[in-house]
Amino acid sequence: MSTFITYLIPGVPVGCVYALMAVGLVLCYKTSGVFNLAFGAQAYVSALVFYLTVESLGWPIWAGALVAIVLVSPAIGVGLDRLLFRHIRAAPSLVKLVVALALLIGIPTTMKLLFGSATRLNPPSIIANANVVYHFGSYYVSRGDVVTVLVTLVVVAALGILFRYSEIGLHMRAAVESPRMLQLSGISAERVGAFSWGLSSFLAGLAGVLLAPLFSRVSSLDFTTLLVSAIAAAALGSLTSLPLTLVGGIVLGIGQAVLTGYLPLNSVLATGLRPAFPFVVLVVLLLVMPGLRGAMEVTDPLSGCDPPPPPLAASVRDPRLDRVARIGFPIFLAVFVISALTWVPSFWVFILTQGLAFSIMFLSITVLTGMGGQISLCQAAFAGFGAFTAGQLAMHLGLSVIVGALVGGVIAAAVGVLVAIPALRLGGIALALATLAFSLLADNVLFPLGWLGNGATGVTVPRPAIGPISFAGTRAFFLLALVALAICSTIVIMVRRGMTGRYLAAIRGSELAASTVGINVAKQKVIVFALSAGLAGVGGAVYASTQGSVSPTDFNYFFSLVFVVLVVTTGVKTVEGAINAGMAYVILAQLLSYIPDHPAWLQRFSGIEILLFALGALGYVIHPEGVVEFQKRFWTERIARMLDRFGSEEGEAEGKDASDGLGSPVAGMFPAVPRAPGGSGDAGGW
Amino acid sequence: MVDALFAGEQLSKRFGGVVALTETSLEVRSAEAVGLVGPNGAGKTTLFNCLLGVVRPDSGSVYFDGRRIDGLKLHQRARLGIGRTFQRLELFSGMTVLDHLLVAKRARGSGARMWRDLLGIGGPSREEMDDADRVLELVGLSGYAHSMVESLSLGHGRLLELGRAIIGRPRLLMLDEPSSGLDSAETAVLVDVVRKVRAETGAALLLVEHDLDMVSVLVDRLYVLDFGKLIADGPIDQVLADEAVRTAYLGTASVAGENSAVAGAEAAGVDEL
Repeated sequence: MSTFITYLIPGVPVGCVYALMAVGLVLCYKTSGVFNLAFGAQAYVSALVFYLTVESLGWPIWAGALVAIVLVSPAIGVGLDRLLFRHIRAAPSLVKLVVALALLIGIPTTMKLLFGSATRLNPPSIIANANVVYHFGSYYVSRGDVVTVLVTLVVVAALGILFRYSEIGLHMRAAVESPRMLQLSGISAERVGAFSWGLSSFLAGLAGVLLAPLFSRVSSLDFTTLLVSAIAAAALGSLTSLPLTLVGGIVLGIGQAVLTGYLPLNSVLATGLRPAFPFVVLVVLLLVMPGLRGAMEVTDPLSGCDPPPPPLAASVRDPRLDRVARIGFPIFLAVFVISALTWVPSFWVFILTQGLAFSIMFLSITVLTGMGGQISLCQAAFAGFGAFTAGQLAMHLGLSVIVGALVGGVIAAAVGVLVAIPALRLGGIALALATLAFSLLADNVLFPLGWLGNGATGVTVPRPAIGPISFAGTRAFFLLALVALAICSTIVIMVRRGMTGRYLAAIRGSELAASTVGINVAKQKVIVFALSAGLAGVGGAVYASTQGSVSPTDFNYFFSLVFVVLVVTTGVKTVEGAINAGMAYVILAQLLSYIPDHPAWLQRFSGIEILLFALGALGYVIHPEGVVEFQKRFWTERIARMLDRFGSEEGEAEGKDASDGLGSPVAGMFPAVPRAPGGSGDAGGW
Repeated sequence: MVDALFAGEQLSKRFGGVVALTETSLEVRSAEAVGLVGPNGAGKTTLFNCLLGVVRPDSGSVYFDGRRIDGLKLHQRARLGIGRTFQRLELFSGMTVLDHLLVAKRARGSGARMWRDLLGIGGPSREEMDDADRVLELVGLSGYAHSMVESLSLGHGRLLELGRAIIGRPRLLMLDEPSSGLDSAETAVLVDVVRKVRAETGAALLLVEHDLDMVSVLVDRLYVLDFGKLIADGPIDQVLADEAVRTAYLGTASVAGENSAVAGAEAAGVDEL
C-alpha cells in the first residue's frame, strides 16, 4: 500500500495540469464548436515565452508569468478566433479540425523561426522554492507539487463561480446551447466567443508554464502529448462537467504514475504504455460511452438558419482544363521521366523517388478524406506496418520488396480494418482522436517490438530485382517507384469513377439518406479505410526500399498529422493533389536544407516547409478544394477570359458558358458542363 | 397482423421527460394508401422514425411482410423494399441528379463491388441508365440529369427524393410531409407523380402530411395522432368527420362544444385545410 501511495503522489500534480488543459479545451469546444488541437501548441508557446523572459532576459518570475500566461496566451487565443475560427463557424467539423491541426504543427515551427531551435533544458518553475520538500510520515511532497494542486483547485473553483454567478458566465452557458439564439437575444455571440477563447487560452498557458518543469525541458512534442492526455481527461468528464473533468485529469495522472511504478523497468510496456495510457483510456471511453460521442457533436439547434457551408467537393471542372491536361500531361510526364533518367543528378533522382513514395502514402488520404469524408491521424502508422512487413520479409525470408510491398499493403489494410471496426462507430472528431490514439500506441508499443519495427535499429529493405534486371541503381529504382505510383493512382481513379466512388460520395453527402436507399454505410467505410490503409502500407514499403532501411522514427505519429495537412493544402479531392503534396514536400525540404549555416539566424529557415504547408492548410477555410485545384481553376478562368476577348464569335459563346460554370460552382452549371453518361459526379480529372 | 405489409405494434418512445409516443400501433396493408396526420408535435415524425429504425423505440415492435424487423439496420430495412423521403431534404450534396438515381438503383440491386470498379466494369449498366432515365422522366427532372443537387429548387429536390425512393421499386413508399415548403403547383406535380408510381408499381403508401387536400386525394385510410396517441383511425371521410379529430386539429375543444356556429365553420374549414 505504501509503495502504491509513493507512486501515486507524483501523479496528482500532473493530473491537475491535464485537468486545467482539459477544462480549457471543453470550454472552447462547447462555446465555439472548435475542438482546438492547437491548445498543445499554445501551451508550448506560453512555456517558451516564460522560459525566454525569465532565463534569457533575466526578468523576475512574476513578470515572465504575467507576460506568458496573462498577456501572450489569451492574445493568441483571441487572435485565432478573430482571424480564423470566427469565420468557419458554420463549416463542417472536418474543416475546423484541419485548421486546428495546421495550427498544432504550424505554431511550434513559427516559434522555431522566431526564437531558434536551441534545446531549452531545466525551465524555471513559476513557483518560488519549488524544490522544497515536505515530509508526511514516510511520504514526501515537493512544494511545487502542492502549489500546482492548489492553483488548479482555485482556478477550477473560480471558473465554476464564474459560470454560475456572473453575467458573462450566463452568456457562455447560453452560447453552449445556441450561439444563434444568443445573438437573437441581443447579445454578441462573437464577444462571448472571443472571451471564452481568451479564457481557455489562459488555461492552456497556465498549464504549459506549470508543466514545463515536470518535463525538465521546453519541447513542443511534450505538449502535443499533453494535449491528448487533456482530451482523455475531458472525455472522462463527458465534455461537460468541470468537477468530473478535474477528477478525470487527476485519475489519468495517477494512473500513469502508478502504471510506471509497477511495470517492469525498461520493458516496452513501461516505456511505451506510459505515454500511450491516456490514449488507451480515451479509446475505451469513446467505445463504451455512447453518450460521449453525442456530446462530441456540437450542433446549434438553429444551425438550419445559417447559410450552408461551402461545398467540400470541387464540383465542376472546366472541360477545357481536362483537354489541356490530356495533351499536357503525357508531355510533362515524358519530359519528367527522361530528365530523371538522364541529366538530373542522381542525388536529386533519389529525392524525387522519395517524393514518389510519399505520393503513394498521400493517396491514402485522397481516398479516406477526399472520397470517404473521414479523417485519420494514423496514416503514417499504416505506412509503418507496410514498411516493417516488407523489411521483416526481406530480412528473414529474403523476399523481394515487390512481394514485400504487396504483403505489407495487405497487412496494413488488415490493421486498417481492425482499427476501423471500432473507430467507425465514432466518426468526425471522435474518429480523429481514436486514430491519433492508435498512432501513439503503434509508435510507443508496437513498433519498438523486435518482430515488427525492431526499435531504434529498424529494418533493412534492399532494393529488388526482377529476374536479371536489378533495380538497385537510383535511376532504375526511380522507374520502379514511378510504376508503383502509377498503379496506385489508377486504382484510386478507377474506384472513384466506379460505383464505389459514387457510394462514397453519397455517404459524404448524407449518411442518413445513403442508408435509406439501402447502402450499408458501415461496410463502405470499412472498405474505404482498408483501401486507404493498404495504399499507405504500399507507400511505406516503397519508401523503406528507397531509403534502404527504416526505423519507427520514420513513421512517427507526428508525420500522420503532417500528412493530413500536406494533402489538404494541395488538394484532397484529386490524385494530382496527393502527388503534388508528395513532390512538393521532399523538394521543398531539400531546397531548404541548402540554406547556409552562416549567419546563424538564416539556419532558422531550414525545416520550415511544414510551416508553409500549415499556412496553406489554413487556406482550406477559403478553398476547400485545395490550393492546386484552386489555382488551376483560377488560371483557366483567366485564360478563358483572355481568349474570349481575342477569340472569334463562336469562341466567345463557348467561353462565356464555361466561365459561368466556373464562377459559380454551385448554381447554373448544367448548361456549361456536358457530361458523358455515366461519368463520375465527383471532381473529375485523373 | 398477418395480412399487413407493414405494421408497428405498441410503439412507445420518450425523450428525457417528454413522452413522444405512447403504445401506438399502425398498419399498412399491401397496396394500401394510409395517411398519418396530427398537429405539430403530435409525434408523427417520431413514429415514422421508429418504424424506419432511425430512432430506436423504447418498447414495441415493427413488422414487415410478416417478419419482425426491429433488429434490422436502416439499410437492411430499405433493402426489404421500403423507400422514403424526408421532411427536411436529405440529398447527396455534391452529386448530380442522375447519380442520385444510379446509386439508389444499385444499392437495391447488386451493390457496388470494388473489384468490378478496378476492372472498369463497375459502372452503371445500360439497364440501370435506362431505368434512371425513365424515373427522371416520371418525376419531370429529365432536363436536370447532370445538374448538381445544390442547384435544384426545393420542389425539384423533393421530386428527386421521390425519384430516388421509387427507383428501387419499393413495396412501401413512406413520405414525410412531402408538401412542406412547396407551392400549390409543385404539390400538384408531386401528387401526380405519387399516383403514377402507385398505379405502375402497386406500392403501398404511408403519408405523413399536414395538407389535408393532398391527404384526401391520395389516401384511403387515415390515422390521427395527438400527444403521442392515436385518437382515430378508419376510412378517410369517416375520420375527417370525427369530432375528436377536428378538436385536436383545430385546438378549440371547449368553444366547439359550446358554440355550434363555430363548430360549423370549422367543419367547413376542414376542407380548406
